[in-house]
Amino acid sequence: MSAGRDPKLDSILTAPPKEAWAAIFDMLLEVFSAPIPLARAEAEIGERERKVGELELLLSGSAWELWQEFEGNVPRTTQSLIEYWNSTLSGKAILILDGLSLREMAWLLQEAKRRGYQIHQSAVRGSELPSDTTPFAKALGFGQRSALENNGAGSAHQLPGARTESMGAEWNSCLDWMDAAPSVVLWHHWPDDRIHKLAEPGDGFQKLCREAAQHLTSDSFWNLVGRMSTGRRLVITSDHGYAASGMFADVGDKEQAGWLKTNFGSSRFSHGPGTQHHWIPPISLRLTTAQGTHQFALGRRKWKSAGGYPTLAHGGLSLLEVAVPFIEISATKG
Amino acid sequence: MLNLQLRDEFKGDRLKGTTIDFSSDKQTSALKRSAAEFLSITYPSIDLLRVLEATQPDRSRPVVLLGARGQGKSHLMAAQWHAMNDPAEASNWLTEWATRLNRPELKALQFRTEFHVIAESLHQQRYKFLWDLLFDRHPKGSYIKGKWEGMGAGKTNLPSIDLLLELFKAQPTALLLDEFQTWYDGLTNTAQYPWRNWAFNFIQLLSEIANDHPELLVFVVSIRDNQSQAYQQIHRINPVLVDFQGTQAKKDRLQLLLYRVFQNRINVPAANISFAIKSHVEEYLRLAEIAPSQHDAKRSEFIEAWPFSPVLMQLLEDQVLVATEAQETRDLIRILVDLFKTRGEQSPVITAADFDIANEKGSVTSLLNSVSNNVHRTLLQKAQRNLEAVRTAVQNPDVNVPHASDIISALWLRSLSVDRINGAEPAELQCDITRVAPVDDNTFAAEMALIRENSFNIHPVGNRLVFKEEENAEGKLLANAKNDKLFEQGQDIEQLANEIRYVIGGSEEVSRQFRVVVLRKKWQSDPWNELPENERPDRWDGRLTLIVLPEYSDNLEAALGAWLKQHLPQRRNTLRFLLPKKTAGNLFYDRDLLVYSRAVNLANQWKETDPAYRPLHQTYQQTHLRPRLRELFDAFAILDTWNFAQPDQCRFLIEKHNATGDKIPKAIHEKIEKELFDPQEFEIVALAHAAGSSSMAKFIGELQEPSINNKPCIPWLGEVAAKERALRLCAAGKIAINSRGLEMLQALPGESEDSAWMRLKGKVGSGKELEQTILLTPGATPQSGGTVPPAVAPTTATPATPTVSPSSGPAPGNPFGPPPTPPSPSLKTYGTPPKSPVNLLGEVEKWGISAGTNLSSVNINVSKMTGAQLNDLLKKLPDGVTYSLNLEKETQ
Repeated sequence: MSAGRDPKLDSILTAPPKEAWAAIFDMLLEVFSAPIPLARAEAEIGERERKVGELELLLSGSAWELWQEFEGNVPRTTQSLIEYWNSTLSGKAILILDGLSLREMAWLLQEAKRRGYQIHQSAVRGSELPSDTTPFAKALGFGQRSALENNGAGSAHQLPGARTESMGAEWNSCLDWMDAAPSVVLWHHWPDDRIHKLAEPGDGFQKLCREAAQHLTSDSFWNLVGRMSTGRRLVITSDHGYAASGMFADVGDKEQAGWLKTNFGSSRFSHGPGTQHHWIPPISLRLTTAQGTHQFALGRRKWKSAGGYPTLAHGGLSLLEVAVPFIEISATKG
Repeated sequence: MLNLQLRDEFKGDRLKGTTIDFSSDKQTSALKRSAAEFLSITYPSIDLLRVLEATQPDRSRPVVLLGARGQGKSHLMAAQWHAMNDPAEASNWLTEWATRLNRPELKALQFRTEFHVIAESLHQQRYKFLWDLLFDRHPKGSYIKGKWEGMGAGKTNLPSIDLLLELFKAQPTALLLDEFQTWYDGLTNTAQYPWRNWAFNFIQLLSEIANDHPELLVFVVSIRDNQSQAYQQIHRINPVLVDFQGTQAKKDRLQLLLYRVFQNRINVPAANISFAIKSHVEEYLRLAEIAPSQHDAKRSEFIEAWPFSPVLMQLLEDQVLVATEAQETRDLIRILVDLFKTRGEQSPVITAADFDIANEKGSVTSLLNSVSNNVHRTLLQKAQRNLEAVRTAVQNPDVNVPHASDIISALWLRSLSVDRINGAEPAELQCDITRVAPVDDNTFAAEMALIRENSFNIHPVGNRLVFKEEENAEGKLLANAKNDKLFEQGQDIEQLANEIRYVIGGSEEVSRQFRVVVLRKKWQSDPWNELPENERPDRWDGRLTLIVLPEYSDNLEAALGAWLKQHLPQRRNTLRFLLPKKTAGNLFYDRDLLVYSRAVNLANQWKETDPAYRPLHQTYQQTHLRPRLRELFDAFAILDTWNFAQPDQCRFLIEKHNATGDKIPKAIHEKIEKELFDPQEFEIVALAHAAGSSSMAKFIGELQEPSINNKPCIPWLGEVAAKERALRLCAAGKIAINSRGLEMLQALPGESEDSAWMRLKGKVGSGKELEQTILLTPGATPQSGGTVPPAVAPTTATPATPTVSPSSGPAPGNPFGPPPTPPSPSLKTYGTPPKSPVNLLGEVEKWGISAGTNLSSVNINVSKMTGAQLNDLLKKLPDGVTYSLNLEKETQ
C-alpha cells in the first residue's frame, strides 16, 4: 500500500494545518476542474469520487485533527463572497446554486469556456460547518435562505445593495426576475431540492450526475448566466456540497453502527455536543465552530437507519460536503 | 377358365332358386319334367344310391330321409319318383354313371315297375288326413273309402289295416311323403280332435305294412330332425335312414355340387386343371407346410375341387354356413354359382380371397342373403370400411397394398366361423391371394403390416388375425394416426414439439432453471409465429433458454449465425442450441415420430370417452415416443465468435453433452460452466465495468450480447450465475458493488474470501434493482475500533481530538500507528434465544462459522428434556472432545 501512495498525502500529514488544507484544496481543484466528456459523465464522476477517496480516508483515518482547523484555515465561501462583493465596485452578481458540489464544477468551467465567458477565478472554497444551508445564510447575515426571497433581505447583511431573490423555478422563469439592477444575488434551490428527492435507495447519485450535466450544459441555464453577467462580474458558487453517501462503506461494527444511528439518525451531524465514544480513529467529531458546537459524522461511512440511510446527504465531515466551487466569470463582448 | 360352363339355369343375371318343387300339379314341378331331363342334373350320390338300394324289389324297406333344409331331400325323392315312373330311363342313367364313375355295380340296381307312385309334399296341406291322400290318388281309393265309410256304427276312426292291405293288394303302391315333419308337427291334438294321434296311428299301420309286405308298399318320408314323434314312430320298424352324413358324404357332396352347378365339369381334363392351378397349389403346400408324403394327395384334392379351392369348400361347409345358419346345399350352390360368375374367369382357383367385399353384386351378396345373423352383416360393413381406411391411409395404394381388397376379403370370410379358432394365419391369407404367380414372402409381409396398421377391426389372437366387430383400439388409433388429412392443422407437429419439450425440460427440477423452446418446421424462415405466444422471445424470463433445433442442417454454423442475426435482435449470446443427431434428419418429417405423436394426441382426446385408449395413450407416449426422443439429441452449440456483417462467418462451439432426456439441460450447463466458460475472461470484463462504474444491469446486458471484433464470446451462465460470480469477485476483493446506495458490498481488510462470501452472498437484488446496483473498483474504507478505555476522564469532551496547535504538527503518536488491538486472537461472543436445531444451524452460518473455525466456551443450554432425548444427544456428540455435563434431575 505504501508503495503506490501519493507522496502528497504524506506531506499533508506532516504539514501545518493551513498548508495541509491548502494542499488538499489544490488537489480537489485539480481533480474536479478537468473537463468531462458528456457521454462519460457518470463513470468519470465516479472515478473522481474514488480519487478523492484516498484523501478522505487520510482525513478520517489519520489526520482527523485537521478538521478542528478547518474553519480557521480554509478560505470559506462566505468570506470570499463578502470580499468579492466589497472589492467589486459596480456590476456584480452572485448565483448561489444550493448544494452544488465540486463534482459539477467541470461542467461550469468547460461550458463557460465554450460559450466564450472569461473566467477570472475558479477555486475551491469551504462551506460553513455544519455544511448546511442555514449556517451559510447566517454567515452572510441573512436569517435564512428564504430571507432573500423577493428582495426581502433588508440591508443588514453582508452583501449591501444587492437585489436578492431565492427561488427554485426553472432557469427560463428566472430570466423574468432579472432586471437591470447592478448588484444581484440569486440563491437558486437547484440542485439541493433534487438531492433530497433522489436520496432514496436506488441510483439517485447516477441520476443526479446526469441531471446536473444536463442542466449545466443547457442553453436555458446559460441564458440566465448570460443575463446575470450582462455588465456584471458573476460569481457562481454554492452554500455546501453533498456526499454520495449511498456509495459510502457500511460501518461493520454493530456497536459503532448503533451509536451512529442513535446519535445521528439519518443525518450527517447533530446539534449540540452529543455523547462520548471511545473508538479510535474516531467515527465522529465534536467541533465548536462559528455556528456553535455540533457532533459530525466523520468521513465516508454510513449506517443503517430507519427508512434507509439517505443515499445523498450533507452536513458531515467529508470533503465533497464541505468543499464547493467558486467561479468568477464575466461575459466577453465580441 | 378352361371353358368351364355353368348349367343354363344358372347363367341368367338373376339366379333362380334351386329348390326342387315336389308338387305334382305345378308346371315348374320336378315331377312334370321328363325323367331324362331331371336325371341329367342328378348326380348318383351315395345317399341317392342308398335310397335306390332300399327300394330294390327283393329287399324293400321303409326309407327315412333325414336332413336339414336344403340338403337335397326333395331332390332324392324326385329322383326316386322318376326312377319308379320310368325305370327304363333310370336304368340308362345309372348305366351311364356306372361307366363314368367306373362303378359297374350301379348297373345291377333295378327298379320296380308295376308300382303306383303317389308323391305328395305334405306342407301344401291339401289333405286333412293321410288316408284322404291315399283314397284320392290310389286307383282303388274310392272303393276302399266307400267300404270304410259304409261300416256304419262300426266305422273306425282310421281305416283298418285290413282295408289298407286290400287297397295295396289291388295295386302295389309307392308312397313318397315330402315335408312329413312339417305337416305332422302342425296337427291339432286335443281330446276332441286327436288328429295327431290318428296320424301317428296311421303311420304305424303304413310302416308295418311296408315292413311286412315290401311287395305291396314302398314307403319313403322326409323329415328334418330325429327329435319329432313322427320320426320316432317310423323308427320303430327299423327303416333305412338316409341322413347325408356318411363317411364319403363330403367328397360325394363336392362331386354332386360341381355336377349340379356346371355342365361340363366332368369333361375338363385333370392335366389341364393341374397346370392351371400349379402356382397356387405349390404355394399352398409350401405355406401350409404339408409333409411331402401328403403332397400328391393334396394335389388331387385341389384338382377334384376345382374350380374351387378345397380349403374354401371346407371353410364354407364346416364353418361359414354353420355360422351363418344358411340352408346347406341349396345356399352353397347359390354361393358357388355367384362366385364362379364373378371370379371364375380371373382366378385359376377360387379361394376365400374371391369373396370380393368391394363388389356389391358378387358372391358376398348371395352369402349375406343366406345369412340370418345380423352380426355378420355389420362385420361386412366394417370390413368394407377397413378396406377404405387402408386405401385412404396408405400412399399410392395400388402399388403399396395391391392385395388389400383380397386380403381383407379373405380374412373377413375366415372370421365368420363360429369356431373358437377362427380368423387366419398370415400364411393362409398369402395362400388365398396366390393365383397365377407366387407372392413374394417379404412383399406380402410388408403389405400385411401396412394393412394391419391401417385397419382397426383386425385383432391379433395368438398368431392368428381375426376380423371382429369390436374395434381394435390400437388398430384404429394407428389407422387414424396415419391419415395425413386428419392433421392438416399441424396438431401432430405441436404434439411432437410438446413431447420434445417435456422430454428435455419437463421435470420440475429442470423447468425451474431452464426454458426449453422447440422450434418448428419453419425454424429458419419464421421461427416465432409457429410457437405459442408464451414461448416467444418477448415472454422469456430469466431462465436459461435452450433452443431445440429440429434438424442438424448442413453448414450449421452459417445457418445459426444467419438465424441469430435475423430472428433475435438481442441477448444473442444467451442461447444454447440443442442439436439432433446428424443422421436423424428433420424431426418434423420423420414419419415414425409423427405417427407416434399423432397416436398420443388422438389417444389423449379419445380416452375421455373410451377408456380403452387410456393404456394406449400411456403406451405410445411412454414406451414408443418418449424413449426415442430421449436419445435423439446428442450435441449442443453455443456462440463463439459473432460477425454481424457476415453472419455466415459466425463460429459456434459444438460439443457432445453425453446425456439423455431431462438430464441434457443440466449436462450442457455443467459442460459450459466447467469446460467452455473462462472465469478469467469474465473477470476482465467485470473489472472493466467496475472501472467504468457500470450498473450491474449494464454488465449483465453486455454479457448477454456477443463480443464484438471477433473476440470469443463469454458463455452465458444465466443471470443468477453472473451475479454470483460478480459477488465472488467482490468477496475476493477485486471489485466492489454498491447495492442501490443502501449497502456497499466489499471485502473488508483482512477478511478471508470465504467469510466475505458468506457475508455478501445473496445481497444483490434482481430486476429493476440491477440498474441501481453499481459495480465499482474497491477502495479503502474507514475503519475504527478499540475497546472502552478504562479511565476516560468524563471531563474530556473530545477524546479523539487532541487539541494541537497548528504549528505542532500531527497529534502525538503516529496517526498511522494501528490502535493497540489486534495481537491476541480476538474472541467475539455470539448467542441466540432458544431455537430449533435447524434455526440454530442457520444462526451458526450467519455468524460465519465454517468447518475450520475454532470456537471456545461453547454452551448449549437445554431448559427441559427427557432422559431419552439426553441419551440421544450424548450419542451424537463428536468424539475427540470432552464435555462437562450439569443438570437438575427431578426426584419424586
